[in-house]
Amino acid sequence: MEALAEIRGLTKVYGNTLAVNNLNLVIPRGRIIGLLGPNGSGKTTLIKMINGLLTPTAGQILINGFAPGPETKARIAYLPERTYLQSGMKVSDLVDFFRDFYADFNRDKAFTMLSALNIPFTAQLKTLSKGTKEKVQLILVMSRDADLFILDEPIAGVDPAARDYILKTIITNYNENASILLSTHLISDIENILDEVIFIREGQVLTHMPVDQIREQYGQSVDAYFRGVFAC
Amino acid sequence: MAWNLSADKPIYSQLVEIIQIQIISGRYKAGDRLPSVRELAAEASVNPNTMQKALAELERNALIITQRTSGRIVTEDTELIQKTQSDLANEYIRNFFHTMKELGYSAEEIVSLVKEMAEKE
Amino acid sequence: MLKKLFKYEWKHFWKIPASINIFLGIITFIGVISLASPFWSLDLAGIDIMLGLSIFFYVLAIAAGSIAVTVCVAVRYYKNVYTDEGYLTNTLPVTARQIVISKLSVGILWSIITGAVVCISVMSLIYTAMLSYEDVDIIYELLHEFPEILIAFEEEMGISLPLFLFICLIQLLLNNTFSILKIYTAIALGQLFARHKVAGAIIWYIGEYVVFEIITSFMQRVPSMFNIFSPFAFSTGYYYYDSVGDYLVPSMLGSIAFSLIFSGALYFLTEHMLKNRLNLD
Repeated sequence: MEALAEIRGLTKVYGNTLAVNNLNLVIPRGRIIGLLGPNGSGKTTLIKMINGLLTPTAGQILINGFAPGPETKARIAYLPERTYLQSGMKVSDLVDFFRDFYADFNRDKAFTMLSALNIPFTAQLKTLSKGTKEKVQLILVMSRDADLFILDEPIAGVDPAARDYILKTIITNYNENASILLSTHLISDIENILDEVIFIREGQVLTHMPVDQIREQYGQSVDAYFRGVFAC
Repeated sequence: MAWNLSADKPIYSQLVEIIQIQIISGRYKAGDRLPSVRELAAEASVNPNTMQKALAELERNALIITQRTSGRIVTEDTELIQKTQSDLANEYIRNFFHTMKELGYSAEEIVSLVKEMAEKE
Repeated sequence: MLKKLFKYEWKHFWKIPASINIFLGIITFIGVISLASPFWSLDLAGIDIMLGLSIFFYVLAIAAGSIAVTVCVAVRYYKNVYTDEGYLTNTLPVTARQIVISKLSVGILWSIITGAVVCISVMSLIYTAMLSYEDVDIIYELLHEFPEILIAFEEEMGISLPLFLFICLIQLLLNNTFSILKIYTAIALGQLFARHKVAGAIIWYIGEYVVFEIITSFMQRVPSMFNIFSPFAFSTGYYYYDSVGDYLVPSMLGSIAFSLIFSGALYFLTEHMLKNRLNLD
């Protein structure tokens, strides 16, 4: 089976800054992958380009063989690191909205998760706390049966109990045709659920290795190894 | 509750050991059916592929058998389970001796200390 | 997908323009009531000044209301496509074309509704005033002399009244479309600025406004392009027309063609910028 995503020679220039520099990456299917790197390393720029929110300066992105567009957007579930939903909408409205636009959206799953995390269906988004808003956004994304999930800091603003629930959901959602790309700074929290990690530095891929290989080769957790590699 | 895993050793080999202990200690008895990979992974809070790798290794050691219709079951071979138990025990003892020797004790001193501790229990 | 986008665009946008229009409706209602009553013929000191001021503020309210609706359309587009909400809008499995068209249609609809409300408002005030103070029922007169009006109109204009109204409607529709597209294109081009994208959009809008004004005034000085009936067109600066319609109708048709062509150009520019040159912050 072909790779889920292929990225070749991807470059993004902002004025004088080279945010992503001739980046090459292959994302296989059926993996949970950590996208790790310091702030400003180009992680978010890469993610935005995959989602078609930024136009690359050069290079190619292919997801299921398609360049970013409506076909890829239908198969990618993206959780950005910001509130991107209209604050006037109610939680139930948002569920209906997602169901309307995404054929792979599972309404029952969404309601189950919303109940499990005690989120009122009829509440307007603007009345919810920041952490609860983040949970709503995450639930909407995880209720989809996408090929590629891109989660940008999914657990950072969320309490530890909800974090466990979210990680458990990611594990039980696992399907061997889909992959999850998790970008986060909380490496030690998620290390155990990752298959492999990608280290990004200055717009390029530094390492792309399975977690257990890092542990065997360097005798350290990924978190410790990261701190070593990116020591300030 | 996530399984207690240490951060600097490969995850899959730790999973192998933990499941071996669960079998030896009787949590999963001979012939018992194991939960699915996904359920085990969720219980342990680890990646399903890693759990799969661990289960594959246990299968290689014949401790677990995959049946086409009923999934994974613990072996009925009680001798094998006992051998696993004694192998693990020996490994722990070896590590214990190694650690104690680092503290400066000789083999005989270690044995007498252990006897003292056992009498107190 | 386009239907869904349209449905949600309407659902999420209707409240503010509707309230503006209701506000205009309320002012109209107050105006009509006051005109229908003998209020304005009362012998109060300064009643004339009050009347003048009321008319002034009424015109201000109408103008403000219309502009407000246009501003709402602009703000909605910018917010939903190019700010945080854009992270959702631009990752939906829809094409840039569908996004622009759904928002454009809702915008046009509301500008037409507002235009209609303004028209009805002005006409009802005039009608009420004529009825109360001149004892003239305009509607009655209009209906009674309708056939003569039609004939006279056709003589003066060269085309029938219904056809003329139809052309007016098309022109109105295209003008609204063109206005909104100017805003959308300005917003899209404003994104090219690395910082201060809103200021950039305003600059582009002013630029567009100036350019199109120049083009329109240039074209108005050469009506002979559209008037193939006048034999004196090129020789002097003084044109002979058989009727008002000989000048007006071709001019309107010309303006429609102009709006159509440039609206098309702006539309494709807006769509292209969204599809191929998107760089969301």
